[in-house]
Amino acid sequence: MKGDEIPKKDCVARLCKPSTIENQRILAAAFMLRLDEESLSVNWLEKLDSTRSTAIDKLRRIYASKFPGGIKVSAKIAVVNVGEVLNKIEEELGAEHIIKILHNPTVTDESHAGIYNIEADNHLIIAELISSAIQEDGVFQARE
Amino acid sequence: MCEANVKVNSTFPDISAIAFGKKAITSDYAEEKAELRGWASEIDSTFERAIAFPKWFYRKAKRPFSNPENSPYAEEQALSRLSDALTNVVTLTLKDREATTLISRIRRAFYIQNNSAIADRLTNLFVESKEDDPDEVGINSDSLNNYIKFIQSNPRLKKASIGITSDKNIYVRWEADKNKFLSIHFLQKDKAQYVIFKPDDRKQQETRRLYGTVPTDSLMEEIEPRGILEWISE
Repeated sequence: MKGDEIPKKDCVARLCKPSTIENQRILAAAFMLRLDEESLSVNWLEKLDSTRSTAIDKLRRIYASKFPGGIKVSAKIAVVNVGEVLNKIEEELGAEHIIKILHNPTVTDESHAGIYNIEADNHLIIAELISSAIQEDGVFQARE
Repeated sequence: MCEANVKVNSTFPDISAIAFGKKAITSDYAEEKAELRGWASEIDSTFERAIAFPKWFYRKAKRPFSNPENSPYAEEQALSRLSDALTNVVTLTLKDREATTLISRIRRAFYIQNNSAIADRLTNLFVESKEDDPDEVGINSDSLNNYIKFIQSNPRLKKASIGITSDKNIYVRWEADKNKFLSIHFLQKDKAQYVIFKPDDRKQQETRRLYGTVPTDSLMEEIEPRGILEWISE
């Protein structure tokens, strides 16, 4: 349901544009908000499917419909575990600055979620901590 | 019949001042054009259209409007919306020209370590960014200018990984290993955010994390005492 916290055992995925990737490596720039954004847009993988590969395939189809101009071949999907991200940020910034990862479904995207409470002063350290939580087997092509 | 010429004069922005008030059209830009692939002609043609259109529109608007039913208020609103749209187009193309001019300056700044590689990377990022979001600036020129000031003041730095944030700002990262790096986000108002991860001097298996936001001209003073210069400099 909208506004529900995503379980810590689950994972969220973020679309990383080629301008945030160098030498196949996803930079923290991929996890930085625009000034006018309330939350960092992600997708709840377990909402799509319990199997990782099927969830990623479904996510690719969602991206393809969201971006009619097409997803670039070099764009990637980065997967992070919700609990690991929350722990890293709480350990670094303390409980009072903890972010929230909430389900935020849309009409066309039931798995849509957002990372909320990213404070401007902590913007870069939060982006670095999220990117450091990318799983070793958690990077996929955004387009097949 | 309704004469609209007075309203045109009062609502229309001085496009020529917007277009030529800044040092946007320079030989630097001409040099960088070759590196920009299709985007140079795209920027040029948008710019030319944006400059030409107000002249055409002004001539047309000076003539009496053919439909006497149009209220002066509706005309004024329409003109205002058009002038806003034109201002946005001209501002966007000027910002893109500023960014490409700045990249060209790096390409010619031989005293900066790895200047060509940095310019090549920035040019690729500019093109990628325009392909992703054609209606936005390729790279935020204020952030880019901020980054350039930093590498001009510290020309012996190793080449960093460079990326573009959602706000089109410059992000750079020097990395010795996964738990030993410096990253900087160059903001738009002469400020920069930095993050340092480094092994704890006393407990080598633990990582110290340092971060903050400082004016760009005191960034090096801020990070130098952290003992990272040896692995980010050539």
